[in-house]
Amino acid sequence: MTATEHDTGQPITPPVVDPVDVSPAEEPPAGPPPVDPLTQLEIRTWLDVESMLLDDTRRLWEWHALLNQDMTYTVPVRVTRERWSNLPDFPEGAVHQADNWFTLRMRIQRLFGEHAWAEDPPSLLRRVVSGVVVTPGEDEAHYAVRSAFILHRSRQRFSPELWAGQRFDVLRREDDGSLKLAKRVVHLDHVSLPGASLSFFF
Amino acid sequence: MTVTDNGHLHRLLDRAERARDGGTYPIELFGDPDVYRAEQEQLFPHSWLFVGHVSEIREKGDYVTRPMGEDEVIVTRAEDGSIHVLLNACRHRAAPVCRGDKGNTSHFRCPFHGWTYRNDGTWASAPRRRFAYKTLDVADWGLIRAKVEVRYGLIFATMDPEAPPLVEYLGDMDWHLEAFFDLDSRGMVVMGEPERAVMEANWKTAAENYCGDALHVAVLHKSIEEIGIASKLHSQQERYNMFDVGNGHGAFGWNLETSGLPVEAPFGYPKRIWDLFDQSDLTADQQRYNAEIMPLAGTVFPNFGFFRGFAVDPVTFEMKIFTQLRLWSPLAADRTEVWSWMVQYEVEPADYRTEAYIGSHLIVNSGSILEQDDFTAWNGPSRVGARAFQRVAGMELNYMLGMPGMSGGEETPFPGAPGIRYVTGFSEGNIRSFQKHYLDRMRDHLEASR
Ligand code: FES
Ligand SMILES: [Fe+2]
Repeated sequence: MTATEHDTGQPITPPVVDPVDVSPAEEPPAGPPPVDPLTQLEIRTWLDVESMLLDDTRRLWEWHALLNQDMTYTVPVRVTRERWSNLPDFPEGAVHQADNWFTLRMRIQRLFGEHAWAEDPPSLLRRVVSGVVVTPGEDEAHYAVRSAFILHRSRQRFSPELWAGQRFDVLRREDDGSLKLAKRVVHLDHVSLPGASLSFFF
Repeated sequence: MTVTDNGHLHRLLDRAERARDGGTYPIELFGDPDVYRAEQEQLFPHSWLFVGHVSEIREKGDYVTRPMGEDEVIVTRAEDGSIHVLLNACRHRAAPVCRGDKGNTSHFRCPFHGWTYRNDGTWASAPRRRFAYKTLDVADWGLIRAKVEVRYGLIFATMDPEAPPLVEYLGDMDWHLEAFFDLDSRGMVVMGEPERAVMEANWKTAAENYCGDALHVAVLHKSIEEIGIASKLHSQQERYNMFDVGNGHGAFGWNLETSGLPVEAPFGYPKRIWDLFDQSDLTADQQRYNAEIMPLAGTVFPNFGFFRGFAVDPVTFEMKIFTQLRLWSPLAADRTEVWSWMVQYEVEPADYRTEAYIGSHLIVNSGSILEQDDFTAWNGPSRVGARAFQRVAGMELNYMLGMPGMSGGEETPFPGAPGIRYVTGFSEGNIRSFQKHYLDRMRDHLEASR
């Protein structure tokens, strides 16, 4: 199909890409100053500790303690689009999971119960979080944090699953100086989930 | 292509038929790659398969891509409003002509040599057509199309041009689907996008579950009691109504009145929502069936399922009722892509629809508390059924619930509702009927292909 045949009715002009253009990337956009290096290090360390807790399914309550009470945790549904469709890869309002502090507590409570068969025996989880980009948030107390992850999940001797995606977080500085997760949106790199039970957290 | 070892399959089908009469069933049927191949060659091509909901392709030019068996088809709304189901393969050299999961377009243009098709599947053009294709009879070169029929907003398609009309295929299930989906005359709308996930289990295990496994609810899903989002699951077990509808279709209901839940109206709908429904499309019998049986889940043979469940608002305790459509799309004997759509009645207020949609994600689908366990438990038959020990041992699965003398489940007709009814959750009669139909169809098609 051609670019002009889409429902917007607007002709779409693909940008011309010069194959031999090796000029450096654009300057970062003007805006608030980048986050200072010490805070960046603090946030990266925070994410590493968080990963450790998330991978160890016995420590999920410790993870839950890192969540702000107003937080939301969303895993939207990805749709394959043609490159010039101008339609969103994550259509509004379509989710695999839409949780908050309370429903996450409920999920963890269940996993710690006697009948959570999806996690008994527990999954072996190992994630690598990288590509961390920290930018200022809506005010001094907030940071916008992107991170990429690869998550390997294995259960008993069944086929392991490999999950990949990007997380868009908001971290909030609490009055006591600690950082809490105020929001997480998980963009999975899968239109069809590689495993059928999302009984763990990204 | 023909199946390599028909003898083996015939012997297995014979054995299955004898076993089924005694309430058992060979586990091999879930794991044997030859059985899987035969299903793909013989069963799926002649069945009516669910491919989507009309609300997904509301506007002219809207399309979605969907599985039909192992094939991929494009489901389109053409310029005249008609719905088409087209094989996603160019007629020139079979390159896929559509590469998105959904979108809107008037034409599909093949990237390979540029053959272009209208969204109704007809051949439209090719580059330099007047030089290149002077005598091509374009009427012969449209995309391969499936036969399509729509019932109650559900789009079904079949590859078989000789297939009986959908209503005939559905038989008495048509009555049950109408009662379930046409609860409001203005129809339903898909929320969000269908969710997809790959499970390591045979598609039939899921189909059996939805058509008549009431037994597992209180056991496998026990954790929902532990965290207080359901109660009394065990004592509810005898309050199920199972309908063996025939033609492999089955459904069962759970009257919630003694469930301890805040039930104001059938299915648990809050009265403020129930009162919005215009039930004029339903007969008095269908209305009584909805009110007294409260159908919960069902399977349309072979691989389409539906489920109506509830999420309870943690603050107001209002019941948020959602309806799930399910497609178990086969990938291999032990691998199935599970598709799930959430639909709500269009007449429900938008905020209620959204709350039900969001709430449903704790109950059903991959991310949910409840269904994680289903997907974990369903892998046994395909895994074991592919291996040696069960074959050596002649291992069979047990479907004896509701057999004469075994447990309750006498046939008790529900006046006005077609199908055999059993008033108990302790019955696997629906599953035995699903299996009988499956075996009959497999045998018919194998005979026909000889
Ligand atoms: S394969 Fe489509 S035009 Fe050649
Ligand atoms: Fe279940």
